Amino acid sequence: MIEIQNVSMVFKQKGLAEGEGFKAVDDISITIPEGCIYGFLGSNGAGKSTLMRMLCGVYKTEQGSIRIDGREVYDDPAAKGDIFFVNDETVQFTAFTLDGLRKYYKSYYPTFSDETFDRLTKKLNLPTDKRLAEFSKGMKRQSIVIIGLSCMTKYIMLDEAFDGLDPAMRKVVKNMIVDEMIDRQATLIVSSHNVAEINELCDRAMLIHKGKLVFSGEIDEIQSGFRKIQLARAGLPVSREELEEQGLEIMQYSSLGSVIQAVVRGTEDDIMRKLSAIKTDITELIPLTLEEIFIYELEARGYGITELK
Amino acid sequence: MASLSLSKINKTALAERRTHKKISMIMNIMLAVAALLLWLVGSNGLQILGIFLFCVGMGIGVIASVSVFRELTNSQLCDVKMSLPMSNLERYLSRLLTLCYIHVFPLMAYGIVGLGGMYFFDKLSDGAILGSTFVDLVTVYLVMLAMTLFIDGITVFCTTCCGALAESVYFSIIAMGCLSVAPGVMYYRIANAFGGMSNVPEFIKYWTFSAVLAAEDSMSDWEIIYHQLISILISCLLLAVAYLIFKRRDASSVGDPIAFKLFFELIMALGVFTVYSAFICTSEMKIGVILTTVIYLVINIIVIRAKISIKRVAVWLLKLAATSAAFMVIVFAGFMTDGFGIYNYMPIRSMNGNSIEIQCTLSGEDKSTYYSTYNGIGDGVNEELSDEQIREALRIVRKYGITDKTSDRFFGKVSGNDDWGSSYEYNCYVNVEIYKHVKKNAKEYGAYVSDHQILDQSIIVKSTDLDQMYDEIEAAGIEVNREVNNWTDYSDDYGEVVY
Repeated sequence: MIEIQNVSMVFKQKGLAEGEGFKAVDDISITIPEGCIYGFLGSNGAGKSTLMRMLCGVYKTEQGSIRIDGREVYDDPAAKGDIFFVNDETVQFTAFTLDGLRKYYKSYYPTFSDETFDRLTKKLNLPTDKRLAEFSKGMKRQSIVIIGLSCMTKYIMLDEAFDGLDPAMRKVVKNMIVDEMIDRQATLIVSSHNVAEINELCDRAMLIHKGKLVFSGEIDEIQSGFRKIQLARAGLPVSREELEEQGLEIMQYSSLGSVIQAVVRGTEDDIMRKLSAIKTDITELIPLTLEEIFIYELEARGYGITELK
Repeated sequence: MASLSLSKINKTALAERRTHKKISMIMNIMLAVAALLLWLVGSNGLQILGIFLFCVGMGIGVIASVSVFRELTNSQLCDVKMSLPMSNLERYLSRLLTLCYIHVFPLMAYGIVGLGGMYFFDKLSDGAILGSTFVDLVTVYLVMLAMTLFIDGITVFCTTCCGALAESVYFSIIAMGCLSVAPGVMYYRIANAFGGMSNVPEFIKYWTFSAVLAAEDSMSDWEIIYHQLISILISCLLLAVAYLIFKRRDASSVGDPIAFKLFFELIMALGVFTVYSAFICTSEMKIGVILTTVIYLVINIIVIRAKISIKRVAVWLLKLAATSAAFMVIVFAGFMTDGFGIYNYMPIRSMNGNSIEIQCTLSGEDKSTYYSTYNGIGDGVNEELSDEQIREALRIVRKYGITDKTSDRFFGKVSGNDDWGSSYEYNCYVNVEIYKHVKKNAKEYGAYVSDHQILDQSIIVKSTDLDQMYDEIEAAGIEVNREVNNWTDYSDDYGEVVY
C-alpha cells in the first residue's frame, strides 16, 4: 500500500534567478491500495509527474511523507526495489539494445524474470539485438514496458506510458500490462491526459490541478458524485440562484429557452432530494463520464476556460 | 549485508560501464598505443608522443567523470537512475567504481605496461627519456595516478555542484586551473613582496598540478612519492566531500546550471583571486582588473538563465567589488604581517647541518649575463647555526635589502666601464638561501629574495655596502667567507656570453 500524506513540493528558481519557487504539489494526501490500477489525472503542469517522481524516490519529499508498505521511499533501496518507474521519455534508452537493457536492469533488480522478458518480446515481436534508436516511438515504449514488467516489482508507475502508441498497439500493451499485473496482484499507477483511457484501464483515480488534489477514489464512486441535470419549466426557466438556494453545488450552468442544463456535484439521491423543492415540468439526471467530470472540474477552476467555450 | 552491498555496487558499476563503451574503447586504444610508444627507448620523439597520449588519457577524466555522473545533469537519466533500487551511498560508490573501470584502471594498467616495458628495454639500451631506475618509474607512476585522481576528483566535485552539463565541464576546468595556480601564485606574490622570500611553499608540493612543478624543485624521488601520496589522499578527501553534496541532490536540481549557489560564489571568488594574484604587485594590475571584470560578467551571463536587467548587472558588479575588496584585505594583511610571518619563518628547526648563503647577483640590460658577483656566508660549510644567528643575519640582510630600501644604497643599478670605455649598468639583487640538508644530499631551502623589480627600486649599489653588511653579519658571530667574493666575467673578447 502506498500512503501519501500531506505531501508538498516546491521547485526553486532555476539558475541564479531569485524569487519565489513554484509549488508543483500542494498538500496532497491519498492512499493507493495494493492490487489496484490507479490513474493520475490532471491538466498539463498539474503535478502528476512530480508526484509520481516523488513516489519512486526521484524527488526528495521535503514536506509530508510518502510510505510504500510502511517505508519512506527516498534513499531506501528496499522500498525502491518494489517499484519500477517508466517516465514519459524514451531517449535515455536509445543507445541500448533490448538485450542490453535486460542485462542492465537485471543488475539492479534481482527479481528480473528472463522468462517474462522472452515471452513478452516474442508476443510483441520485438528484436532484442537492435538498438532502440532504430525503433519507432511505439516500439521503444513497448520495450520499456516489457522491461518494467520483467523486473517483477510490486508497483509499476507509468508516466504517460501510452504516448506514441497507435490505437491497436495501445490495446495490446494495455492488455499485456493488465494481464501481467493481475496475475501477480501487482499495483499499477498510470498518469495520462487521456481520461477515457484512465476510465477504461483504472479502477481508481485522482484528479490534480495546480498541485492540489481535486478528488480521488474509486472511479465508480467518483462518477456517482456528479450529475448533469436538465430542467425544463414553462415560462420562467430555473435560474442558477434557485438551484444554489436549494444547496446544490453547481459546476456549470447553461440555459436555452425554458430548458436549463447544469452540472452538479452530488449523488443522484441527494440531488433529487434538493430538486424536489423546485417545481419543473421535466427533470432529468444524466450520469457523467470521467472525461466530462475532468473537464467540468477544471473549468470550474478556470482552467482552459476560453479554449473550452 | 555489507558484502552483499559491495557486490551490488560492483555489479551495478559493471552494468554502468557497459553504457560508456565508447569512452572505454577510446581509452584502451589510445593508452595501448601510448604504452607501446614508451617502450621505444632511444626514440625520444615517439616516447614523448606516448607521454602526451597518457596526458590526454588523464584529461579524458573530465569527459568520463561528467559522463558517469550524467544523471546529475540530465533529467531523463535522473528519472531512471534515481528510481533504481540503490541508496545514495551505493549509487555514488557505484559511479566512482564505474569511473575507475572506464578511466582510472585503464590508465593504471597501461601505465604499468608502458613504464614496465620502458624499464625493461632501458636496461638493454641507454637513452630513455626518463632516468629509468625502478624508483623513478614508481615516482612517475604515482604522479600519473595523483593527477588522474585530481582531474577526476575535481570534475566529480564540480558535477555534484552543477545541474547542467556545460557548467559541469567548464567549472571543472576553471576549478582545476585556479586551484593549481591561485594558492601558489598568491603565496609567491605575497611572500615575495612582503616577506622577502621566494621559496616554493610546502603545501604546494602536495597540491594538484603544482605538485608536478614542485617535483622539479630538487626533491628526491622518495620525497616526490611521499608528496604524491598526500596528493592522492587529498583527491580522495575531495571525493568524500563530493559525496556529502551528492547525497543531498535529488532530481529537482537537475537542469539547474548551479545546484549549490555557494559553490558558484566560491569558484567565482577563486577565479578572481587567481587572476588578481597573477597581476598583483606588477605594473599590469589594471589589465588584471579589466580581465577579471569581463570574465566575471560573461560567466554570470551564461549561468543566469534568466532575463538580464541593469539591476542584475549592478549586483554582479557589487559582488565583484566585494570579492576584490576581500582580496585586497588579504594582500593588506600580508603586507602588515610581513607576508603572514613568512619573513620570520625558519625552515631550519631540527636540521642537521645548516648553512646560510648570501648571493649578490648583478643582472640587467644586455650586459646582464656577463658579470655576476657571488658572496657567501658559510658557503658549503656544514656548521651549526642557531636560529638566533640566522635571524640576525636575515635581519641585517633585510635591513640592507628591504627595510632600508629608501637609503639609495643597496639595490638598483651599478655603473661601470668596460675595457673599451663604454659605460654599462647592472641591476642588483640579493638572494639569501637557507638550506636544510635532508636525506641523500637533497636540500630544502627557504630563499629570501630581495628583488629590485618587485620592490620597484632604482638605486645605486656600492661595494662598500656589501662590505658593511658582511661586517655586521660577522659581528653577529657568523663567519663570512669573503674569499668567494669575486666578479666573474662570462664574456669573451667579442662581448659574447661564454659559459
